[in-house]
Amino acid sequence: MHDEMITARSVRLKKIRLAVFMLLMFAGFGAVLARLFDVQMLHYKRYVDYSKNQYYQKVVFSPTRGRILDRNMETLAMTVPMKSVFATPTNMENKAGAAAIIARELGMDYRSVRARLEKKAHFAWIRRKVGDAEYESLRSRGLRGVMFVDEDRRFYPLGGVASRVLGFCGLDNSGLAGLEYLYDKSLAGEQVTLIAQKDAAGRIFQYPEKPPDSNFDLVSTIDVRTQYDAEKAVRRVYDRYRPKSALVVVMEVRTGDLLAVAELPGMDSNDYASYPTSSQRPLTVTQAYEPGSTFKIFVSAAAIDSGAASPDEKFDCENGRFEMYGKTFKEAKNNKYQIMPLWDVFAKSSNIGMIKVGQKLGEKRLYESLRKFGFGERTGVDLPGEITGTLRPYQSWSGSSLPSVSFGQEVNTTPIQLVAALSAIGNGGTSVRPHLMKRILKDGRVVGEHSAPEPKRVVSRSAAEQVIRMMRYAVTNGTGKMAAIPGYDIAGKTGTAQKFDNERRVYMSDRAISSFAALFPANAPEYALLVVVDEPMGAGWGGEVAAPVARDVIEAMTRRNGVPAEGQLKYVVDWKNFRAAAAYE
Amino acid sequence: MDDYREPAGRWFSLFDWPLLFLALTLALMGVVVIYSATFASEGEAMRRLYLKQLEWNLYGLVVLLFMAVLDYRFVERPGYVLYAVCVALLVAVLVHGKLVSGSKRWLGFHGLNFQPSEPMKFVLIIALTKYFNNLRVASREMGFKQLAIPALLTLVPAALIAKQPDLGTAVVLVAIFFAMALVNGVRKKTLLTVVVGLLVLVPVMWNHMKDYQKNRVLAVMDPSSDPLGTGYHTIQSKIAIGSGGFFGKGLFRGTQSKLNFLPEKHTDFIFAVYAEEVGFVGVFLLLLLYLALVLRMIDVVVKAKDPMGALMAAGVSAMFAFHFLYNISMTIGLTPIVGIPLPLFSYGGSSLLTNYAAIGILISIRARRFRHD
Repeated sequence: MHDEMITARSVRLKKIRLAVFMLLMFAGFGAVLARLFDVQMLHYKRYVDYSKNQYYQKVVFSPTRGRILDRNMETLAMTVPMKSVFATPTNMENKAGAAAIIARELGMDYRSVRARLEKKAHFAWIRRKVGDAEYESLRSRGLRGVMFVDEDRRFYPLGGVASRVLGFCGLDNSGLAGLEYLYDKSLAGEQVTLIAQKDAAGRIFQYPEKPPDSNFDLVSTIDVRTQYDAEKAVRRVYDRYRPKSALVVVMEVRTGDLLAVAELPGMDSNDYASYPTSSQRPLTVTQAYEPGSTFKIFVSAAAIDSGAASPDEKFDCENGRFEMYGKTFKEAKNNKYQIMPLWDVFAKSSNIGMIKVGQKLGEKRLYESLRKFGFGERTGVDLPGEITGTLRPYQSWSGSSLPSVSFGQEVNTTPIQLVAALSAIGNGGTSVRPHLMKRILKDGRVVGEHSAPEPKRVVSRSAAEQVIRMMRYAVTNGTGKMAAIPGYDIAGKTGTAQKFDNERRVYMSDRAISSFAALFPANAPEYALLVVVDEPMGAGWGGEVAAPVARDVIEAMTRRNGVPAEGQLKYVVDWKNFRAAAAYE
Repeated sequence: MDDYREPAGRWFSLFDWPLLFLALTLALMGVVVIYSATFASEGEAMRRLYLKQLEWNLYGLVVLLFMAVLDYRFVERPGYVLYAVCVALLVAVLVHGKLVSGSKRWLGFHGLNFQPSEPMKFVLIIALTKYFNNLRVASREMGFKQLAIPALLTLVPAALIAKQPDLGTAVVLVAIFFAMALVNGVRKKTLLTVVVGLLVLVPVMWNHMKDYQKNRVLAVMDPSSDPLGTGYHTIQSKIAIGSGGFFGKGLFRGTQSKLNFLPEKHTDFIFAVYAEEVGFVGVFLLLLLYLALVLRMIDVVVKAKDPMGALMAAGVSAMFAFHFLYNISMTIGLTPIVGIPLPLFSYGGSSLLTNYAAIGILISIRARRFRHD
């Protein structure tokens, strides 16, 4: 009886305890279910995003870098698929043997190869971007731990032609200088981003296929034939007079197209690293020099335009000696001129005559006109690193500034400024901005084009025409005779600027910049041309050094004009050493 | 009137078919999900795991039938001997065990690897049953004096297992002890003291935990604090489960597991693989299956003929309930990550055989509920 009571009580208790047990379990069950509901139903989106972020990876495809073409679609720069060789040193056995084979096949120094292989690394470049033949022969040796990877190499099939303007690309094919640098984005093309799937270890599977390349091409204003003529001419003067530098710029006056920018010392974009950095930038926009007598073109234009002087007006050239503000001004070569019209002042390049012209014009009008020509500011040409030159505001001029500026001293210009101002004269008194990019093509379609700013009037059409006539006279009867071509009309002006010795504060008699500025054909100018030769050795006078260069270029250009191009541009490419040269034959 | 020694036909009708059906359903689902978790693996051995699991299931079924036929009282009798053997094996593990990813849990046995901590769970249930059953305090609930020895019986193997270190299994042993003590009856005062005592003890335990164990606890609070380290398991598992959504990504089409983001995907995190592929719908179904399984086990506690059967069934029920709830809650970041597999579902022979043996004994208890001797 008692036992039964105990049993009954214990059964009841057992049920209560079981209930507690089940309560705990259901609480846990509820918590788990609630959490699962929260994770899978309420925050589903968030976790899906997480998971996608984890197994999707963006893969960026860079298209092959676009070409740079000349105005007639001749290739100036292109991209060549190549192989780069690397080693996994930790995975190699016979390093000495491998190094010997590599050195032989790639034409490298054995010790440098060996040093690379001895690195305690999983990865070491042996040589970037090797040619097909070398790649094939090395690959056929089947060396363990020696591997290859595709890499594009920038190649300039014309070798050193226009290299300072074209610039170059680094190992990663991004533009570092010149047009390559300035138009890097356009040339690099549109990167395509695709989604790849990867696993937890970061291994990509389902690698997306590389989309077909879009070909971006930059059509430049350069005309390879003119460029080549200019380089040939500048090479001659460079070899003969051993100057510090020499350059020729040819610009189309109506459009601002730069047809040729030839500069020496040159460099080869294919091998830019072997040249000093001073040879890597375009002189045309980075060289500041005192223009000397070529500047008389613009002083005369300003005077005629303002009515301060006319070509027939006579000026007293003071028999070769003129003092002003305690400073004595002389003529070049100690010439002595008396009274003569502006025609002759210009053609004979009388400094004293030009001072008189400047005096009639006055500081303010001279300064303002020169500013309108663009002196003292950047032209905005599409080359990196352009400097402003110096043309101090007339308010800060000293007494001797007006006479000095009148014949091209106390002012610094860049070649591009001068050729742009010259073009304004040639273009009937209106200036256009010089430029090198003509258009950008994507798969042959035009996607970008040079847009010229509204041409600015600098001087009147008649003033411009009168100056051109004076320049023509200077070539036929004056200092520019050396540029004359029988049967062809050139308008031109020589310039010889003695270099200023900054230490001794005097102009040096033995160091000068010889230049020649030309417009042609003279009756209706199409092209402006500037030759600048920095410190020619031996003979220093503009007429003797720079004018023949101009003549050579103009002669070559006119000979071709209207006549089908003689011969073909021939490329000579040395693929093994990645050297190239081009020539018309 | 009923004689449990009656011939097979009678026994057949007393057999707990629903329990067996639930267990087999879960086990077969496990095989399918293990296949899904591993078929995309690189290693041939990994890809064949589901076949091995199938094989273990067949052995498990044999063990289950054997235990079901056996009288559970026959199992209880050598309880302490079994206990001693199992503890000895645990000591052997610490001395000769195979080191796998920082833990010594396995004993090599003629090419067969075996985890003594798994049968330890079951053997502890038997030993505790024997102890509680022999305690003549049916009318009164137990106090500290009565609980001291079973607590010791639990803590010795729990400490040995924690030393492997396998905190998860050690916790399971403690959970079994608490559940069985609770079902057997504990004085209210004692119960209260234990609860308060635990609250005091937790900080002390914290100080004795290994760094990686502490980190795992911390990672539960804020998995994003260390997404590539300790929190990685939790985050990846939650991403897998969460991205499954309502209907899942489709069987065999889970990405987190195939792409190896999910760690331990065929063992402790098998639930995440399942949840990713079949979504909340499938998860709900699985939870219901486990709930049904445990409720069916608790039904054995109620229906057991004697306290011995009831205690044994209570221990087994507690073990299963704790296992499945803890495993799932750690995959969804509710509890710290410890090595507790999803019972019947996760890959692993030792665990599977133990679970089948435990279910077998429940079938045996249920089948003998009408006996009179």
